[in-house]
Order: sequence, then structure tokens, then C-alpha cells
Amino acid sequence: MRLLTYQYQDKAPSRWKLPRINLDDNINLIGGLSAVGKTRLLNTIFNLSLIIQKKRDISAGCWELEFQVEQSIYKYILHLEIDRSTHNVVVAKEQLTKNDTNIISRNKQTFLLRGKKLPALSKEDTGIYLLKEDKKIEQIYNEFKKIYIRRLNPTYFGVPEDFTQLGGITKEVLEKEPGQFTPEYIQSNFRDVNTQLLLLKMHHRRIYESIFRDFKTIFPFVADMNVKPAKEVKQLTIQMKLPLDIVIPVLVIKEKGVKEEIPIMNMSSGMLRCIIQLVDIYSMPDDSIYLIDELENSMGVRALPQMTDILLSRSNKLQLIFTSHLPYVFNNVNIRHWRILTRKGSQVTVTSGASLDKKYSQSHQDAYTQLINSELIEDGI
Amino acid sequence: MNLYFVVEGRRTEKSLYKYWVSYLCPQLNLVSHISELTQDNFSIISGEGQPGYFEKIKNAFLDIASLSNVDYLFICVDSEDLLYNDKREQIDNFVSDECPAVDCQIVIIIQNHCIETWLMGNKRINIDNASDPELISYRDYYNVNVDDPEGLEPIDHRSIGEFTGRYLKLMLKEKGVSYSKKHVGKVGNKGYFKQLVRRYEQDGHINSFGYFLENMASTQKS
Repeated sequence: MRLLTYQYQDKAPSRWKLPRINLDDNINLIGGLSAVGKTRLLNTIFNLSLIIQKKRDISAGCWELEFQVEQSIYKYILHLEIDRSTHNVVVAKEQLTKNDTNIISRNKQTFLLRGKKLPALSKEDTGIYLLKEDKKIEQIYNEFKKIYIRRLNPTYFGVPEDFTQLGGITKEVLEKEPGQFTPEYIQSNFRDVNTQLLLLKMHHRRIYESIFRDFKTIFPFVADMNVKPAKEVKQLTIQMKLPLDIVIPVLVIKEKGVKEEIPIMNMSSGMLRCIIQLVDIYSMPDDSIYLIDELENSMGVRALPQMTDILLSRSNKLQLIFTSHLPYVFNNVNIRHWRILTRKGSQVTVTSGASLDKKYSQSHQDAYTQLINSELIEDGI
Repeated sequence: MNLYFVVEGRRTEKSLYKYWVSYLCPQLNLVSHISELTQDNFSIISGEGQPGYFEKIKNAFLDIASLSNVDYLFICVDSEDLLYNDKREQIDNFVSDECPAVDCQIVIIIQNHCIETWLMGNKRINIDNASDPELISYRDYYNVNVDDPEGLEPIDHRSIGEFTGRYLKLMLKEKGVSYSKKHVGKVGNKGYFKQLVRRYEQDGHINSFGYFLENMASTQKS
């Protein structure tokens, strides 16, 4: 899926409103002052994906988007609001069209699939979820599953802070049919990066090696990387009792000139962030949407340029939508990919980089300097 | 006439110079980008502090060389812990060695020691009857209402910028004036500015601020 346009509005009381934003196929750098709504933009996209998958409770809001799957252009409108009598959030309006032909058309009273009226179905589920047995709708449902988010807190995605938080997988799971372990399946079903890496090492050696290669490019002092059962990691076996029926994989690295292995919980936060993002970008299926909040978070001056370059190099396979505050990122992403948000009260305005390009090309100051000296930042809220 | 400013920081200096230029030359209009300089405009770029401002200064020269409608380039930076003359020499050398020749007037303003030093020049922020013990200790050490704020040195191991910022903040707080680097507040008002001008003209203090005033005045004569 490629998001072409996106629009969102909160229901009362905040009525936060993001106007229609045109998105680039590959790279979208979202800038603007803190609290202008950059993270919220990413969250609303991701939450829509979760709501369609029924992975989170529905909450009120209005989404309108256009997206491309293969050669077809889809439009999707979803309005969720609180029902006054039941106080539950329900679907007030839902419309899915393919190349301007209605597939789902729904309001509070009627529910049509390709023009044919359907019997009463749950008002608390989206039509895409309810009708995902239909082959065409299943395709769209699966596309919404390919929206991933990377937030700033590494523990959010299961990276342990110490050995007591290590996750694990049962031997029963490990012995499942290898064909089941597609990169997408691994990415979606195992939150722990240790487990993801173990499964990639077992079933997708080339991906695993690409991750290692890029990791070494970013951190050239790393000599080796491995995923081992926790019981084989010297520093851990002394401290913890390990269950017999569960394999607990642990990422370890070996640094040049350092004798002891370094397990994941002793790695720097910058290293962690990089390894997580590398696993993300190599195991996501093609045409996924990758949302990253604050690309630079936890990354030092060594990692950020390399990681940014690697990430941008994957933009032919993924649609990247990410936020940043850093000059390096802005100066290394073509200004045409910028989307700068400003806000007055609850109304957000989006300025596309293309509209700034002509003006900025007239100065020798770098683009980031011009941006932070502009009214978009100075009067950004 | 068009003026191009490269100033030390993003928040304080950009806000204050915007106000001060408009007080001194009300016919000049601020534009948000140098490409918008047409007639009687000024534009301000933040140097993002040292060492970032060197690149911005050089790029400003390149801009001027290509735009050719800039009459004055003002470079406004702190002397901080350097002596005024040493900082001046450093910037002079950088301009002559690293920047292309341009057909416009170059004015180098060294804020001695920093812009907060100038802001201490308002005698109406009177600290004779200060109540804050920390402020009293600073006043007793060096009373900026009486002596030239440019002569202030740190009382301890803080940098001059840190110490001056703290001293100023306590002075303003005593008078109920809120001030931060992000939000200059009433410090940007015309009345406050007039008091700084008065301090220079009547007491001969804050001379580096006076140098800025004189150069702004000379832009009117050309």
C-alpha cells in the first residue's frame, strides 16, 4: 500500500484537525515545532490500521485517505462517533471505493456491499474487518496490516531493560512448519527483537546477514553478532534460572579487542535502536508503510547518518513517514519530501517542501537553517 | 536599502534585533527569507551559536554575492569569555580569510559579553532594594545599576554567559518581569529599549550596544 493523501479530524472536544496532506510514494519527512501534531499524525495512521484489524478499541475520529494498491486507487472514509443512546463508539460513516467504484458504502442506517444491502452487522467494527472473507476486501484488510510504527521507547517493542525481562518462545513454536515463518509473520507476531533475529537467522539467512552487514557498517568496531540461547550467554546463566521448555534467545555482539560478549541488555541505546530498525526494514513486506517517531532518538553522531542513509535506501520498497528535529536529517532528505506542520489552536496546516524549494534554492544557507529561521517554525504554533 | 543580519542565537537575538531595528528604522520591514529582500527590508538568520555561526556567516556572504541587493550585512555575536578585541579580531580574520568579497557594508557587532549584558543596562530595573539573597549577593559583588554591565565578571566558575543570564533573570524577577531565552517578553518593548539607549548616551556604558546604535544610524545617512 502507498498512502497518497491523508486527512484526519478528532471529534469533540478537541476537534484537532489535520487537513488533507499529500504524501510522497517513498519518503515523507514530517517537521515542525514540538506539540504541533507530528506524533499525532503518525499515531492516527497507525491507530486506523489497528482499528481495522480490531487490535484496539475503536475511538471517535474521522479519517479520509486515498491509497494505491498495485495499479488501483482506493478512497476510504471512516467516521467513528459516540452513539448518544449507548455511549459506545460506532461507525457513523464508512465508504471504500476502488477507482471511484463503491465497494463499501455505509452509514448509521444502511450497509451496502457493492450496492447490495447487507443485514445488520456490528456497528462497532469496520466494514473492512467484518467483510474480510470477501477476497477483494481481504486484500485491502491485509494492506492495512502492513502499517508499522516505531516509537521512541525501545521497551515498547519488547527490548529488555535487564535479563529478568527477556522474552522467549516455546520449542513447539520453533518446530512449526518453516514456511509459516515469513519475514512478515515474524515481524507481526513476535515483538521481541531477540526472537525476531533468531527466527530470521533460522529461516531467512540472507536477511539476517544483511542486518548484520548494515549493523557493522554503522558500528565498525563490532566484530561479530549472534543470537544464542540465554543459557549459553555467560553473563546470564550465573544470574537466572531458565525454564526448560522455553527457548530464550539473546542477541550478543562481540567487539573488536574486547574479550567478553556483550548481551543485548548491556548494549547502548543507540545500538539497540539501530538493530530494531534494521530488523524492521528488512523484515517488513514490500509496500509496507513504516512510521517512525523521532528518527534520531537515542542515536549518536556515529549512528544517525549511517542509519538515516540505510533507511532512505529502503524507500524503494517501503513508504517512509517519519518525524525529526535534526539538521542532519533535514539536510539529507530532499526538500521535496518535507511536510512541515504548523498549528493555530486545533487547526493544523501542512506546507509541502516542494512549495519551499524555489525560495530556499536562492540562498546558500542550508535548507534546515532556512527552515528554522522561517515563519513556519518561529510562528509554528 | 536592505539589511541582512546573522545573529548569535535563535531565540533571544532574533526577537530583540527584530524589535530594535524596527524602533530605530521604522521604514524597514522584516521579511522571513532573504529572497524576499526587495526595498527597505531586513532579514535575520540565526547563527545557532558558536561554532555554527561561522558557516552561516560565510553563506551570508555567498548569498549577498549572488543576490546583489543587500546594502548592509550585520554580524552580531557574543564575545563571551573572550576579550572584546580578541573576538573582533577572530571574526575579522574569518571574514577576510574565508568569505568572498562583496559589494556591501560589513558591520561586525560584538555583544560584550552577551546580549543579556546589554539588557542589564536598564536602570529602571533597580536592584537597590532587592530582596532575593542571591541577587543581593550579586549586587554587592558588582552592581550593574551603577557600574558598566560590560565590566561584569563571573562571581564563580560559571561562564560569563551563564552568570549574566542568571543575574539578569533575578533582576527582572524582582520587578515581576518574566524573561527567558525563548520568550523575551517585555524586555523587547520600546520603553525597555529606550532605557538601554539612555544608559549608553548618558553614562557611556554598554559601549558595544552603542556601536550597534551608531551603525544603525549610519545606515540612515547613506
